[in-house]
Amino acid sequence: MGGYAPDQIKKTKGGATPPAVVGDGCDLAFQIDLVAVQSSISAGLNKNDELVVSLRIQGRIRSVVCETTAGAVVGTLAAFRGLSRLIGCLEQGVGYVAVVETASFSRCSVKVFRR
Amino acid sequence: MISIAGGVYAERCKYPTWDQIYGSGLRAAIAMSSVSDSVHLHAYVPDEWMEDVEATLASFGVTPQLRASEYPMTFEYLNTFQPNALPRELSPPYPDLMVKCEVVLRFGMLEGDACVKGDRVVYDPQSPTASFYGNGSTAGSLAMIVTGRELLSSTHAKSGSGDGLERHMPDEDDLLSAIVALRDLPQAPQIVLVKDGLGGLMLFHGDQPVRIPSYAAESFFRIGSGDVTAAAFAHAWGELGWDPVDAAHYAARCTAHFVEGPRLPLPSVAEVGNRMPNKVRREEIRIVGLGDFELQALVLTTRSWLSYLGGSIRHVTFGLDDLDSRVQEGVDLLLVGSRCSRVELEAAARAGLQPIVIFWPAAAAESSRYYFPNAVVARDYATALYHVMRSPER
Repeated sequence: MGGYAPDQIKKTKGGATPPAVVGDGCDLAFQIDLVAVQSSISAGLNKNDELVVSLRIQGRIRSVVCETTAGAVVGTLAAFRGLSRLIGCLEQGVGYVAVVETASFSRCSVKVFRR
Repeated sequence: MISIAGGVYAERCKYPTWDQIYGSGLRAAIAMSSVSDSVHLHAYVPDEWMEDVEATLASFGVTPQLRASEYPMTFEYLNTFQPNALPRELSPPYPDLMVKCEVVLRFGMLEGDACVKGDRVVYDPQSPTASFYGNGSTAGSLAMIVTGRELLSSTHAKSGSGDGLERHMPDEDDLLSAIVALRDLPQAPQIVLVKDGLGGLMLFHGDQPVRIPSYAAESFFRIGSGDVTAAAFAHAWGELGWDPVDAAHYAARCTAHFVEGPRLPLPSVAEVGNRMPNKVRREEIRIVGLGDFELQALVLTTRSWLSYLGGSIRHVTFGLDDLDSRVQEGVDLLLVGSRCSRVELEAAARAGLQPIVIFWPAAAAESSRYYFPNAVVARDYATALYHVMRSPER
């Protein structure tokens, strides 16, 4: 689990609450439910599995998705305060990891940290 | 193509944890993004959320038609059935949003309203006092989606159940009286859908009401489920031109799909085609609580909730002392408190207690299966109540 600090999560409410921001403005840390969860992928995940956070552009759709290390999209990060900042940081090349908190065929909750 | 007018609000829930920006408008827009070729969202959005809401809409290809507001509003919930704090309507309200489109989905809002003009319009007023035509809105065909209490209040009809209990879904006779009163209005809606609070609907279109069942779901996340019902119906009836009965069945199936997560966006017709309808619980409900004083308070609250949802309670039993005489009758719902000991659980299992549903927030899968192998074990409260009141038809 090196490279990011789980303790930061305790200071952050995430969601509709503004994310904790320190340093260069990209030290984001929050917990959130994914939208558009892919049931077959999410059902195979376990607590503490690590997902890659990446920016996807398909036509006019620009979204931040969480993928398994094999490249399968689990779902989309959306509908929370800090999404536009997260996109800006990803565009600057900052890397993030999403750690699975709970996952089932219908729901996937993740904690997102800077790498 | 569809235009949606509706609110964008923060939503926070304690159990299960939920802290996001949705509101009816944003939720419906994301919901419809998977099934509609073009979705436009008209909404007031607080300045400080504007970029995040725009980024969210861009994630799903929704076209934003947003007007900046100064007032972030938050809905707080203890669980997905029980609001803790609801924001107030803005006074004076902002000027109306103006929406013109062939198909429109309009929700009531807290900051103002939307004046909509459409050929097929679905209207969820989210208030008993709102009027569709009052602000100059027009519709070629109008479908209203309301709760039973909103319908009774809007037509000044009274509940005649006479048992003194307030219920989410009034008796069918009361609903029919309200519909008759509504149809006497100069501009009555062609279609009225009444939500039963657990994913089912009563459709009033022709001479006879049509009961649309809720469809089976493994869990029940209630926040926003009505928004999804409205969005799915607006897509099927408004955009696809389906018969209202078929559209209402699709909406109920989509609602079941949503509450299992919450899951957005809407599923396709094929994805939800095999979902089983639920049957409504008609039998009296037997409740047992194992735990301490706080748990007993929860048991009493649960009795009230189940009555509100249309259930009728046969008995409530606390602890093991009174259990023996009740076990033979069967138990529908067991509530297990946080300080319920292993000894108590073993004694309950030895006494033959085999409940249908267990609300056990601290349950580990293994121990719940060991003590109660045939029960539905719910770790969240709304899911437990849902499974007591509805079960799949076999």
